[in-house]
Parts: sequence; structure tokens; C-alpha cells
Amino acid sequence: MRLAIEKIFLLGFAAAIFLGCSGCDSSRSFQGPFQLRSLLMSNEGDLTGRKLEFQVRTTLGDPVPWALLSLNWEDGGRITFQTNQDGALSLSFEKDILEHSVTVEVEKRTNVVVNVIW
Amino acid sequence: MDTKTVMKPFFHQNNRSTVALLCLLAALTSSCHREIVFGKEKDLTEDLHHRLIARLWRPNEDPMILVAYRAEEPMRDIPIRLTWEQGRFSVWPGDNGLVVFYMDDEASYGHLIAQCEEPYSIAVQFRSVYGHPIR
Repeated sequence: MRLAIEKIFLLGFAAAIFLGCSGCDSSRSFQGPFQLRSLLMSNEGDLTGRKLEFQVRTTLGDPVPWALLSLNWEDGGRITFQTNQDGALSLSFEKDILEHSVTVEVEKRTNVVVNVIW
Repeated sequence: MDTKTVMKPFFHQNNRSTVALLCLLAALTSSCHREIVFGKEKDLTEDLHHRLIARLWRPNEDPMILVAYRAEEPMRDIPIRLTWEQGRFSVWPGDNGLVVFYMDDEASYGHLIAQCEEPYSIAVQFRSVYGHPIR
């Protein structure tokens, strides 16, 4: 009996560790430009330092290959990244980015959705 | 008087949970909290300087391509960190090992610093024949 309880405890603990390491993927979707700060400080907690995958999709859910994802700083400056063939780009942001107002948007495309997964 | 030494096995039933717990915690801390040591800084504005003056590189239109490499092999899983006065962030290369991006005037002159973790290096590529997309 004691051994069985021990095994259950160990299995449960291992499962918790596995889930903690591999992560239960969370995501948010945005249609149109959105504030980076609202994403990073979302209800799920502080996402600075986390690897975020931005996926550019059509409204039907198809990937937009080689899409152009822009970071626009309100104080000035724009950097536009090309996604991969699957419309995906991985970024992570450090805390000091929160001191600036940054808008994320997809260039040269309308009717697209940006899914952010972490 | 006889003395009897009883050797208690380390992996005793009572210790199993503790040992397993310690192993799992060690694995967790080693895999999830790896501190990255960044290597040499590359100032992108300095790299662009002559091209900008000679108008061989046009902000917003011409791509900048960064590659993290080691022994001439592009690395696909090594993020490149970009730092400027507007904040710091890292970007992962695409399947081709390239980070392709475009900068406006302010970013082009903004002295963005590119770095990747040691012992990898960063190369800047300028494509003489280009167009969107850069594959």
C-alpha cells in the first residue's frame, strides 16, 4: 500500500515537472495592430524573457509565408522582421522594452491574424 | 563483546522519494535556468555607415541579414540579441539560419547592437540581388 502511494506521488510529481518544463502552451490572437506591452503584461502574467512565437495567419487560419512583422516604437524607429515559410517568427523581450510604447503589426497585408504562442 | 555493523542501503525504500525529488529538481534547475553569456558586440550602424552614405543601402527597402555561426556553419537555434536605446530583445533565425529584417531611418542610425551567445559569432550579409522574400 505504502509503495503504491509512493509510486503515485512520484508519477504525479514527474508529470508536474514535465508540464512545468515543456509548458502548457498558451496563446493570444490579435487582428490588426496591437500594443506589445498589453501582450507582455497580459492576464497570464509577465511574459518578458519568455520565447514568444508570432504566427501570421489568414483569417481562415492558413499560414502567411515570409510575412513582414513590424515593431513600431512610438518614440521613433521601426524594425520589420521577415517570418519563415510558415509565417512564424520567435522573439523574446527584456524588461526594459516595457518602458517604451511599441506597436506590433503585419506590413503589406490586411485580413491577417497574429497568433502569439508561449 | 561483539559489535554488529548494519549497513543501511542508500537507495532504501524510505529514501526513494527524496532521491527522486532531488534528481528532478536538479534536472529542472539545470534545464530551465541557463544563464546566457553574450559574445562580442556588433554595431549595425557602423557596419552600414559607408553604405548609407553612398546610398548603397536604403532604409525601409533593403534588408539586413544576420547569421549566427560557428565554424562557418549557420546556427538555426541560436537567438540574436538586439540592443538599442529603445529596449532589448532577441530574435531566432528562420529555418535557413537567417534573421532578415528591415529598418527605417531612425533604426538604421540608432546604433543597434547585435550579439549572440558565446562561442558563436555574428555575420552581416548584404545581398546584391534581393527581393522579398529573402530565402
